[in-house]
Amino acid sequence: MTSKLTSPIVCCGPLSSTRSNCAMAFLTRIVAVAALFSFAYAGVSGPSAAENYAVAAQRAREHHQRAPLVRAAPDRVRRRGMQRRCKGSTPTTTSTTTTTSSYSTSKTWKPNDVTTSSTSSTTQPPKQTPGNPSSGGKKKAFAWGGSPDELGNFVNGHVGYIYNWRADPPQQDGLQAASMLWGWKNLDGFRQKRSQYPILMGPNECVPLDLLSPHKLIRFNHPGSTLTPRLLCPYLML
Amino acid sequence: MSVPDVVKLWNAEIRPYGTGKLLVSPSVTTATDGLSQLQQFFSTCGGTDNCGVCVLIQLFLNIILTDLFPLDQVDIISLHYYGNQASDLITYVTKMHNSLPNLPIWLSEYSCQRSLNI
Repeated sequence: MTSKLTSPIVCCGPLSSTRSNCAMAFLTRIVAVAALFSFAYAGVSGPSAAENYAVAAQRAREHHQRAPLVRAAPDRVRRRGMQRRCKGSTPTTTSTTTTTSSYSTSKTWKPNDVTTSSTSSTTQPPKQTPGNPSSGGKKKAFAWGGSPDELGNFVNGHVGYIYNWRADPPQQDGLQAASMLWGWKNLDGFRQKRSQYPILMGPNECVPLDLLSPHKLIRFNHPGSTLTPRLLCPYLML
Repeated sequence: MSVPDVVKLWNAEIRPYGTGKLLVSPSVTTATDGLSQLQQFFSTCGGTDNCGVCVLIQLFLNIILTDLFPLDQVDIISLHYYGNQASDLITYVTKMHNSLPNLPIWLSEYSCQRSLNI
């Protein structure tokens, strides 16, 4: 090794007659010397050059052994590997490929469904609210005004909830029923039934007092309601 | 039903019994500016009385409590829409969502308001 480092640069033979060939040979020798210096430095501070070479060769062999397996893998496997690195797109792709219904469970309880893009919504974890899983993530509901006996004719895999403006909506397999406290008129019934339902709905519609016209009183207040116009504090007047 | 009545019912009959349940907000419509009603509901739903002094105290406390427990008693916003323009419905729901972005929205009633005239 020492002889190589100290040996002079000799240009000889037919190709050595030109100046450019000599310059190229000089540069090649400089690179070789620099490489040897770095190799020698590595040998001083760490494993020997032979050990480094052996490790590198082993890694190379392992790499080449894996390569055919990767090339032979189906495209979906490689895509899945990429999705692990790209967290944003994973949930959407998974839900659309593994479910047969368009109302997938991964799409529930996303407050930003209306205005945000799919990318931003998939980065947020779905809101964990009680009662949600049993609905199967369905977004449709029955606002049911018919007979409970007829309800079964309309239940399918796309509807998850039911309410009927009352405290005791019909309970049907596959549907989560919401008990509504419509107002003062059904307070007693609501008190008796509210513990039996997983969803409680607040009063049906509220109207600011100063906007209550006789027409709106008829529309928004069921006969029997105890609503009476009252004098409220000024800051409560809407 | 007025907003103070709704608040009274909510605090007495729904909120205390909401453990383990989904609580859906009082429903509001476009017809009477539902957004301002919901905002007043959220700002006063800690109150139980309508007297002036009590409400002032409640409003003051709610400013503090809202920071500590923001909207913890409502899981879903319920909206009603009655109109005859799909674009108005989209605008209405979007406006509500932008105002209360952390809560999902249920459109629990909708209808073409002038359907009888078509």
